[in-house]
Amino acid sequence: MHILYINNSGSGFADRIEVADGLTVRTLFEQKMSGKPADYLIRVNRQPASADQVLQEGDRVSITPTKIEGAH
Amino acid sequence: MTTQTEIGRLAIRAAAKIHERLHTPGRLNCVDRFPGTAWDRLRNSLWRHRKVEVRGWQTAANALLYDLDYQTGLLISQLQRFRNELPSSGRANRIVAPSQIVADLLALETEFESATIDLKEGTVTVQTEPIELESLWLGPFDVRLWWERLNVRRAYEVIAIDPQRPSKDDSVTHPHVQDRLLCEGDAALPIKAALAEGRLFDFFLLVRQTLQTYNSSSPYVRISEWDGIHCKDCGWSMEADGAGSCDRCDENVCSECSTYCRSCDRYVCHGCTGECAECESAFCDACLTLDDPAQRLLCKTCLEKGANTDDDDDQGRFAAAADAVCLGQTAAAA
Repeated sequence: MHILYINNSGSGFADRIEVADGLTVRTLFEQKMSGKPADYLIRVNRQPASADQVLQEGDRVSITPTKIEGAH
Repeated sequence: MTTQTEIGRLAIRAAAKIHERLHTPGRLNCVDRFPGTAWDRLRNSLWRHRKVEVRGWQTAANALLYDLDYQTGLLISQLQRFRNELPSSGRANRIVAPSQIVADLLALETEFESATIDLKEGTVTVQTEPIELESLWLGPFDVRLWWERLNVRRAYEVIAIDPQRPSKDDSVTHPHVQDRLLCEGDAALPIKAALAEGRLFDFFLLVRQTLQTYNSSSPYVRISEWDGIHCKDCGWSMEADGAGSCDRCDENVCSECSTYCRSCDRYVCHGCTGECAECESAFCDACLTLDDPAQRLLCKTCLEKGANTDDDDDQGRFAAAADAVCLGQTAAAA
Protein backbone atom coordinates (compact mmCIF):
# COMPACT_ATOMS: atom_id res chain seq x y z
CA MET A 1 0.00 0.00 0.00
CA HIS A 2 1.01 3.63 -0.39
CA ILE A 3 1.13 6.44 2.15
CA LEU A 4 2.22 10.07 2.00
CA TYR A 5 5.27 10.39 4.22
CA ILE A 6 6.32 13.88 5.30
CA ASN A 7 9.61 14.40 7.10
CA ASN A 8 9.80 17.94 8.45
CA SER A 9 13.34 17.65 9.77
CA GLY A 10 16.40 18.54 7.71
CA SER A 11 15.36 20.15 4.46
CA GLY A 12 11.78 18.88 4.74
CA PHE A 13 10.14 16.77 2.11
CA ALA A 14 6.90 14.97 1.31
CA ASP A 15 6.97 11.70 -0.60
CA ARG A 16 4.53 9.02 -1.56
CA ILE A 17 6.08 5.75 -0.39
CA GLU A 18 5.16 2.10 -0.51
CA VAL A 19 4.89 0.32 2.84
CA ALA A 20 3.90 -3.14 3.98
CA ASP A 21 0.29 -3.84 4.91
CA GLY A 22 -0.33 -3.67 8.64
CA LEU A 23 2.61 -1.33 9.26
CA THR A 24 2.32 0.56 12.56
CA VAL A 25 3.37 4.11 13.29
CA ARG A 26 6.13 2.79 15.56
CA THR A 27 7.60 0.58 12.84
CA LEU A 28 7.48 3.34 10.25
CA PHE A 29 9.29 5.65 12.69
CA GLU A 30 11.96 3.04 13.37
CA GLN A 31 12.45 2.47 9.65
CA LYS A 32 12.67 6.13 8.68
CA MET A 33 14.02 8.06 11.65
CA SER A 34 16.78 7.91 14.19
CA GLY A 35 16.33 9.17 17.74
CA LYS A 36 13.44 8.92 20.14
CA PRO A 37 9.77 9.21 19.07
CA ALA A 38 9.23 11.58 22.02
CA ASP A 39 11.40 14.14 20.23
CA TYR A 40 8.92 14.32 17.34
CA LEU A 41 5.31 15.26 16.73
CA ILE A 42 3.86 12.39 14.76
CA ARG A 43 0.57 13.07 13.03
CA VAL A 44 -1.49 10.69 10.94
CA ASN A 45 -3.97 12.53 8.75
CA ARG A 46 -3.14 15.64 10.81
CA GLN A 47 -4.21 14.00 14.08
CA PRO A 48 -2.00 12.80 16.94
CA ALA A 49 -1.33 9.09 16.56
CA SER A 50 -0.51 6.28 18.95
CA ALA A 51 2.55 4.13 18.37
CA ASP A 52 0.40 1.07 17.73
CA GLN A 53 -1.86 2.71 15.17
CA VAL A 54 -1.95 0.63 12.00
CA LEU A 55 -1.50 2.68 8.86
CA GLN A 56 -4.05 2.57 6.08
CA GLU A 57 -3.79 3.04 2.33
CA GLY A 58 -3.49 6.75 1.50
CA ASP A 59 -2.66 7.88 5.03
CA ARG A 60 -0.74 11.11 5.45
CA VAL A 61 2.01 10.70 8.05
CA SER A 62 4.02 13.72 9.13
CA ILE A 63 6.99 13.71 11.49
CA THR A 64 8.07 17.08 12.90
CA PRO A 65 10.83 17.67 15.46
CA THR A 66 9.52 19.09 18.73
CA LYS A 67 12.62 21.25 19.06
CA ILE A 68 13.75 23.29 16.09
CA GLU A 69 16.49 25.82 16.68
CA GLY A 70 15.85 29.27 15.34
CA ALA A 71 18.77 31.60 14.86
CA HIS A 72 19.66 35.25 14.74
CA MET B 1 -15.23 20.25 11.84
CA THR B 2 -16.52 19.78 8.29
CA THR B 3 -16.81 21.85 5.15
CA GLN B 4 -20.49 22.36 5.97
CA THR B 5 -19.68 24.81 8.77
CA GLU B 6 -18.95 28.50 8.32
CA ILE B 7 -15.21 27.95 8.74
CA GLY B 8 -15.49 24.97 6.40
CA ARG B 9 -16.90 27.18 3.66
CA LEU B 10 -14.24 29.80 4.37
CA ALA B 11 -11.57 27.11 4.17
CA ILE B 12 -12.78 26.00 0.72
CA ARG B 13 -12.68 29.53 -0.65
CA ALA B 14 -9.31 30.28 0.96
CA ALA B 15 -7.85 26.99 -0.31
CA ALA B 16 -8.87 27.85 -3.88
CA LYS B 17 -7.13 31.22 -3.62
CA ILE B 18 -4.02 29.73 -1.99
CA HIS B 19 -3.81 26.99 -4.61
CA GLU B 20 -4.10 29.55 -7.40
CA ARG B 21 -1.45 31.71 -5.73
CA LEU B 22 0.94 28.78 -5.42
CA HIS B 23 0.71 28.13 -9.16
CA THR B 24 1.70 31.71 -9.96
CA PRO B 25 5.36 31.77 -10.98
CA GLY B 26 7.58 33.10 -8.22
CA ARG B 27 9.32 36.42 -8.57
CA LEU B 28 13.08 36.64 -8.36
CA ASN B 29 13.60 39.25 -5.66
CA CYS B 30 17.05 38.30 -4.47
CA VAL B 31 19.21 39.15 -7.52
CA ASP B 32 20.96 41.99 -5.69
CA ARG B 33 21.94 39.53 -2.96
CA PHE B 34 23.97 37.31 -5.29
CA PRO B 35 27.42 37.06 -3.61
CA GLY B 36 29.35 38.50 -6.55
CA THR B 37 31.89 40.28 -4.32
CA ALA B 38 32.70 37.10 -2.40
CA TRP B 39 33.01 35.26 -5.71
CA ASP B 40 35.44 37.89 -7.10
CA ARG B 41 37.54 37.84 -3.91
CA LEU B 42 37.86 34.07 -4.07
CA ARG B 43 38.86 34.22 -7.74
CA ASN B 44 41.49 36.88 -6.95
CA SER B 45 42.90 34.77 -4.13
CA LEU B 46 43.10 31.78 -6.45
CA TRP B 47 44.94 33.84 -9.01
CA ARG B 48 47.37 35.18 -6.37
CA HIS B 49 47.95 31.69 -5.02
CA ARG B 50 48.81 30.42 -8.49
CA LYS B 51 51.22 33.32 -8.95
CA VAL B 52 53.15 32.79 -5.69
CA GLU B 53 53.24 29.04 -6.25
CA VAL B 54 54.84 29.49 -9.66
CA ARG B 55 57.47 31.71 -8.07
CA GLY B 56 58.13 29.14 -5.36
CA TRP B 57 57.10 31.39 -2.45
CA GLN B 58 55.94 28.57 -0.21
CA THR B 59 55.19 30.63 2.93
CA ALA B 60 53.04 33.08 1.01
CA ALA B 61 51.28 30.18 -0.75
CA ASN B 62 50.46 28.59 2.63
CA ALA B 63 49.08 31.88 3.98
CA LEU B 64 46.90 32.24 0.90
CA LEU B 65 45.53 28.74 1.43
CA TYR B 66 44.05 29.95 4.72
CA ASP B 67 42.44 32.86 2.86
CA LEU B 68 41.09 30.51 0.21
CA ASP B 69 39.59 28.25 2.82
CA TYR B 70 37.91 31.17 4.64
CA GLN B 71 36.64 32.81 1.46
CA THR B 72 35.28 29.52 0.12
CA GLY B 73 33.34 28.99 3.35
CA LEU B 74 31.98 32.52 3.16
CA LEU B 75 30.91 32.08 -0.45
CA ILE B 76 29.19 28.77 0.33
CA SER B 77 27.16 30.31 3.18
CA GLN B 78 26.22 33.35 1.07
CA LEU B 79 25.24 31.13 -1.86
CA GLN B 80 23.17 28.98 0.49
CA ARG B 81 21.34 32.10 1.72
CA PHE B 82 20.81 33.17 -1.89
CA ARG B 83 19.44 29.73 -2.71
CA ASN B 84 17.05 29.87 0.24
CA GLU B 85 15.59 33.09 -1.11
CA LEU B 86 15.04 31.76 -4.61
CA PRO B 87 11.38 31.13 -5.38
CA SER B 88 10.65 27.44 -5.75
CA SER B 89 10.75 26.29 -9.34
CA GLY B 90 7.59 24.82 -10.81
CA ARG B 91 9.33 21.57 -11.64
CA ALA B 92 10.60 21.03 -8.12
CA ASN B 93 7.32 22.12 -6.72
CA ARG B 94 4.74 19.52 -5.83
CA ILE B 95 1.79 21.62 -4.92
CA VAL B 96 -0.88 19.74 -3.02
CA ALA B 97 -4.47 19.57 -4.24
CA PRO B 98 -6.98 22.20 -3.04
CA SER B 99 -8.73 19.48 -1.03
CA GLN B 100 -5.52 18.90 0.93
CA ILE B 101 -5.25 22.63 1.66
CA VAL B 102 -8.85 22.57 2.93
CA ALA B 103 -7.99 19.61 5.18
CA ASP B 104 -4.93 21.49 6.46
CA LEU B 105 -6.95 24.60 7.26
CA LEU B 106 -9.64 22.64 9.05
CA ALA B 107 -7.08 20.71 11.11
CA LEU B 108 -5.50 23.92 12.38
CA GLU B 109 -8.40 24.56 14.72
CA THR B 110 -7.78 21.36 16.66
CA GLU B 111 -4.00 21.71 16.66
CA PHE B 112 -3.88 25.33 17.84
CA GLU B 113 -5.59 27.48 20.44
CA SER B 114 -7.46 29.20 17.64
CA ALA B 115 -7.39 29.44 13.85
CA THR B 116 -9.03 32.11 11.72
CA ILE B 117 -9.35 32.76 8.03
CA ASP B 118 -9.85 36.28 6.72
CA LEU B 119 -10.77 36.21 3.03
CA LYS B 120 -10.80 39.99 2.70
CA GLU B 121 -7.34 40.38 4.16
CA GLY B 122 -6.13 37.16 2.57
CA THR B 123 -4.77 35.70 5.80
CA VAL B 124 -4.76 32.55 7.85
CA THR B 125 -3.90 33.14 11.51
CA VAL B 126 -3.28 30.64 14.26
CA GLN B 127 -2.62 31.37 17.89
CA THR B 128 -0.10 29.34 19.85
CA GLU B 129 -0.50 28.42 23.47
CA PRO B 130 1.52 30.67 25.84
CA ILE B 131 5.21 30.12 25.26
CA GLU B 132 7.68 29.90 28.10
CA LEU B 133 11.38 29.38 27.48
CA GLU B 134 13.68 28.56 30.40
CA SER B 135 11.22 30.17 32.86
CA LEU B 136 10.87 33.30 30.71
CA TRP B 137 7.17 33.78 30.02
CA LEU B 138 6.61 35.18 26.52
CA GLY B 139 2.89 34.59 26.21
CA PRO B 140 0.93 33.42 23.19
CA PHE B 141 1.81 34.37 19.61
CA ASP B 142 -0.23 34.80 16.46
CA VAL B 143 1.32 33.31 13.35
CA ARG B 144 -0.27 35.08 10.38
CA LEU B 145 0.13 33.93 6.79
CA TRP B 146 -0.68 36.28 3.89
CA TRP B 147 -1.33 34.03 0.92
CA GLU B 148 -0.89 36.83 -1.62
CA ARG B 149 2.74 37.07 -0.49
CA LEU B 150 3.48 33.41 -1.23
CA ASN B 151 6.28 33.08 -3.81
CA VAL B 152 6.93 36.83 -3.55
CA ARG B 153 8.48 37.58 -0.17
CA ARG B 154 8.28 36.50 3.46
CA ALA B 155 4.64 35.46 3.61
CA TYR B 156 4.13 35.35 7.37
CA GLU B 157 4.62 37.27 10.58
CA VAL B 158 4.88 36.23 14.20
CA ILE B 159 2.95 38.62 16.42
CA ALA B 160 3.17 38.59 20.21
CA ILE B 161 -0.30 38.91 21.76
CA ASP B 162 1.06 40.27 25.04
CA PRO B 163 4.59 41.36 24.10
CA GLN B 164 7.23 40.71 26.76
CA ARG B 165 10.02 42.75 25.28
CA PRO B 166 13.57 42.70 26.62
CA SER B 167 14.72 45.92 28.24
CA LYS B 168 17.35 46.60 25.61
CA ASP B 169 15.42 46.08 22.36
CA ASP B 170 11.79 47.03 21.73
CA SER B 171 11.70 45.28 18.38
CA VAL B 172 12.27 41.84 19.93
CA THR B 173 9.38 39.79 21.36
CA HIS B 174 11.05 36.37 21.44
CA PRO B 175 14.74 35.38 21.42
CA HIS B 176 14.30 34.51 17.72
CA VAL B 177 11.71 37.10 16.64
CA GLN B 178 12.52 40.66 15.69
CA ASP B 179 10.11 43.09 14.02
CA ARG B 180 7.60 40.22 13.80
CA LEU B 181 10.03 38.17 11.69
CA LEU B 182 11.10 34.76 12.89
CA CYS B 183 14.75 33.97 12.35
CA GLU B 184 14.07 30.45 11.15
CA GLY B 185 17.50 28.84 11.59
CA ASP B 186 17.10 25.07 11.19
CA ALA B 187 13.45 25.54 10.22
CA ALA B 188 14.27 27.61 7.11
CA LEU B 189 14.33 24.81 4.56
CA PRO B 190 11.37 22.76 5.84
CA ILE B 191 9.29 25.96 6.13
CA LYS B 192 10.21 26.92 2.59
CA ALA B 193 9.33 23.44 1.32
CA ALA B 194 6.03 23.36 3.23
CA LEU B 195 4.93 26.76 1.93
CA ALA B 196 6.04 26.02 -1.65
CA GLU B 197 3.98 22.84 -1.67
CA GLY B 198 0.98 24.33 0.12
CA ARG B 199 1.38 22.12 3.19
CA LEU B 200 0.01 24.78 5.52
CA PHE B 201 -0.54 22.44 8.47
CA ASP B 202 3.15 21.51 8.43
CA PHE B 203 4.15 25.14 7.99
CA PHE B 204 2.28 26.31 11.10
CA LEU B 205 3.58 23.34 13.09
CA LEU B 206 7.18 24.13 12.11
CA VAL B 207 6.83 27.78 13.14
CA ARG B 208 5.26 26.83 16.48
CA GLN B 209 7.97 24.28 17.30
CA THR B 210 10.65 26.85 16.45
CA LEU B 211 8.97 29.34 18.78
CA GLN B 212 8.98 26.70 21.50
CA THR B 213 12.74 26.21 21.22
CA TYR B 214 15.52 28.39 22.54
CA ASN B 215 18.83 28.37 20.72
CA SER B 216 21.19 29.96 23.24
CA SER B 217 24.00 30.23 20.70
CA SER B 218 22.16 32.60 18.39
CA PRO B 219 19.35 34.71 19.87
CA TYR B 220 18.57 38.37 19.19
CA VAL B 221 18.61 38.83 22.96
CA ARG B 222 19.78 36.19 25.40
CA ILE B 223 17.23 35.00 27.95
CA SER B 224 19.77 35.72 30.70
CA GLU B 225 19.84 39.37 29.53
CA TRP B 226 16.09 39.74 28.92
CA ASP B 227 15.51 41.93 31.98
CA GLY B 228 18.80 43.73 31.55
CA ILE B 229 22.15 42.61 32.77
CA HIS B 230 22.55 41.60 36.40
CA CYS B 231 25.43 42.66 38.59
CA LYS B 232 27.21 39.49 39.72
CA ASP B 233 27.81 40.89 43.17
CA CYS B 234 24.50 42.48 44.22
CA GLY B 235 22.15 41.15 41.52
CA TRP B 236 20.98 44.63 40.52
CA SER B 237 19.55 44.80 37.00
CA MET B 238 21.30 47.23 34.65
CA GLU B 239 20.67 48.44 31.12
CA ALA B 240 22.96 46.53 28.76
CA ASP B 241 24.50 49.73 27.39
CA GLY B 242 25.39 51.11 30.80
CA ALA B 243 26.64 47.90 32.36
CA GLY B 244 30.25 47.70 33.40
CA SER B 245 32.36 44.63 33.74
CA CYS B 246 35.19 43.51 35.94
CA ASP B 247 38.52 44.22 34.27
CA ARG B 248 39.90 40.97 35.63
CA CYS B 249 37.15 38.33 35.23
CA ASP B 250 34.86 40.11 32.70
CA GLU B 251 31.73 39.43 34.78
CA ASN B 252 29.05 42.16 34.75
CA VAL B 253 29.28 44.43 37.74
CA CYS B 254 27.49 47.65 38.69
CA SER B 255 29.30 50.87 39.56
CA GLU B 256 28.46 50.45 43.26
CA CYS B 257 30.13 47.07 43.40
CA SER B 258 33.21 47.80 41.33
CA THR B 259 36.39 48.71 43.15
CA TYR B 260 39.19 50.82 41.77
CA CYS B 261 42.65 49.35 42.04
CA ARG B 262 45.02 52.28 42.19
CA SER B 263 47.99 50.05 41.49
CA CYS B 264 46.94 48.93 38.00
CA ASP B 265 44.16 51.46 37.21
CA ARG B 266 41.52 48.73 36.79
CA TYR B 267 37.96 48.41 38.09
CA VAL B 268 37.25 45.00 39.55
CA CYS B 269 34.38 43.07 41.17
CA HIS B 270 34.27 41.96 44.81
CA GLY B 271 35.52 38.50 43.90
CA CYS B 272 38.65 39.90 42.32
CA THR B 273 39.32 42.39 45.12
CA GLY B 274 41.55 41.92 48.15
CA GLU B 275 42.78 44.13 50.97
CA CYS B 276 46.35 45.01 51.77
CA ALA B 277 47.04 43.73 55.30
CA GLU B 278 49.21 46.73 56.03
CA CYS B 279 47.50 49.85 54.62
CA GLU B 280 44.03 48.22 54.51
CA SER B 281 43.33 49.69 51.07
CA ALA B 282 41.50 47.66 48.40
CA PHE B 283 43.46 46.35 45.42
CA CYS B 284 42.78 43.78 42.74
CA ASP B 285 44.05 40.29 43.57
CA ALA B 286 46.74 40.51 40.92
CA CYS B 287 48.31 43.55 42.61
CA LEU B 288 48.61 41.92 46.03
CA THR B 289 51.62 39.81 46.87
CA LEU B 290 52.00 37.26 49.62
CA ASP B 291 54.59 38.47 52.05
CA ASP B 292 56.43 35.21 52.59
CA PRO B 293 57.57 35.27 56.20
CA ALA B 294 54.41 36.93 57.59
CA GLN B 295 51.99 35.15 55.19
CA ARG B 296 50.09 38.42 54.63
CA LEU B 297 48.83 39.91 51.38
CA LEU B 298 50.48 43.23 50.76
CA CYS B 299 50.26 45.87 48.06
CA LYS B 300 53.39 46.76 46.16
CA THR B 301 54.01 49.95 48.15
CA CYS B 302 53.69 48.27 51.55
CA LEU B 303 55.79 45.34 50.36
CA GLU B 304 58.56 47.71 49.27
CA LYS B 305 58.22 49.70 52.49
CA GLY B 306 58.53 46.47 54.48
CA ALA B 307 61.62 45.50 52.52
CA ASN B 308 63.16 48.91 53.18
CA THR B 309 62.34 48.66 56.90
CA ASP B 310 63.96 45.24 56.96
CA ASP B 311 67.01 46.71 55.26
CA ASP B 312 67.12 49.54 57.80
CA ASP B 313 66.77 47.05 60.64
CA ASP B 314 69.55 44.91 59.17
CA GLN B 315 71.74 47.98 58.78
CA GLY B 316 70.98 49.02 62.40
CA ARG B 317 71.78 45.55 63.72
CA PHE B 318 74.98 45.49 61.68
CA ALA B 319 75.98 48.93 62.98
CA ALA B 320 75.24 47.91 66.58
CA ALA B 321 77.28 44.74 66.17
CA ALA B 322 80.10 46.74 64.66
CA ASP B 323 79.91 49.19 67.52
CA ALA B 324 80.03 46.30 70.00
CA VAL B 325 83.08 44.91 68.28
CA CYS B 326 84.69 48.32 68.36
CA LEU B 327 83.70 48.86 71.95
CA GLY B 328 84.99 45.39 72.86
CA GLN B 329 88.22 46.02 71.09
CA THR B 330 88.50 49.35 72.87
CA ALA B 331 87.69 47.74 76.19
CA ALA B 332 90.15 44.98 75.55
CA ALA B 333 92.75 47.47 74.51
CA ALA B 334 92.08 49.49 77.62
